[in-house]
Amino acid sequence: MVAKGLWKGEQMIKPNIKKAKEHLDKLYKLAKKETSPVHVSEEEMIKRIRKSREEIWSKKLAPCS
Amino acid sequence: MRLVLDSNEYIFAFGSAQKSVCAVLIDTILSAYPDCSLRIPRLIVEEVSRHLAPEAFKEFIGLINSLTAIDEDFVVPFELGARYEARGLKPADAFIAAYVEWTGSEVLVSENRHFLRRTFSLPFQILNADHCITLLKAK
Repeated sequence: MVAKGLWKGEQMIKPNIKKAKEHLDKLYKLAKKETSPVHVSEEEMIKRIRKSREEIWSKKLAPCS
Repeated sequence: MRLVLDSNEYIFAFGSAQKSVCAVLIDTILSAYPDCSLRIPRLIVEEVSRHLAPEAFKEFIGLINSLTAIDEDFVVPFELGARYEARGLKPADAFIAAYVEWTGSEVLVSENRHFLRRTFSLPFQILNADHCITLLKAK
């Protein structure tokens, strides 16, 4: 199936690839500047991301408990 | 093909700890649009915001808004998440799995081994960036 767009309620969201590529170029330029002088291993980074996922999720659930 | 990229894919592509294959995956997906498309929940956007500099996060939001719409977490049925939690996934991971199923996505892409080692039968595939690129190129 070809994904021409996404329905959000009654609104059709059409992808704008040209604009997406502009943002992507800027992201890569910023990423080059941002490279950390301290090497963080992939495993360590995944640990950090998992930790932040748990923190965000528990904050989201806090009002429900 | 509809895909959900876990937050680690975006963070490795655009953050300070880079993994080039994750950037290649995003380039490959963009080249394959509209034959392949992305879906993203609010939770993943919030996770990415924690690991990107503000300027990069602004561009990330621009990128996402050019491609798709951000789905609010509450749209995913609670029961679906509970089912994955009962199968041993942590609550937030269970939510992501439920989201992938709810969106009818074929693939969840993640570098997270906690996801990748799941072998129980799922209505979608869990692949790392490298394997997902191979799959997209084969299509």
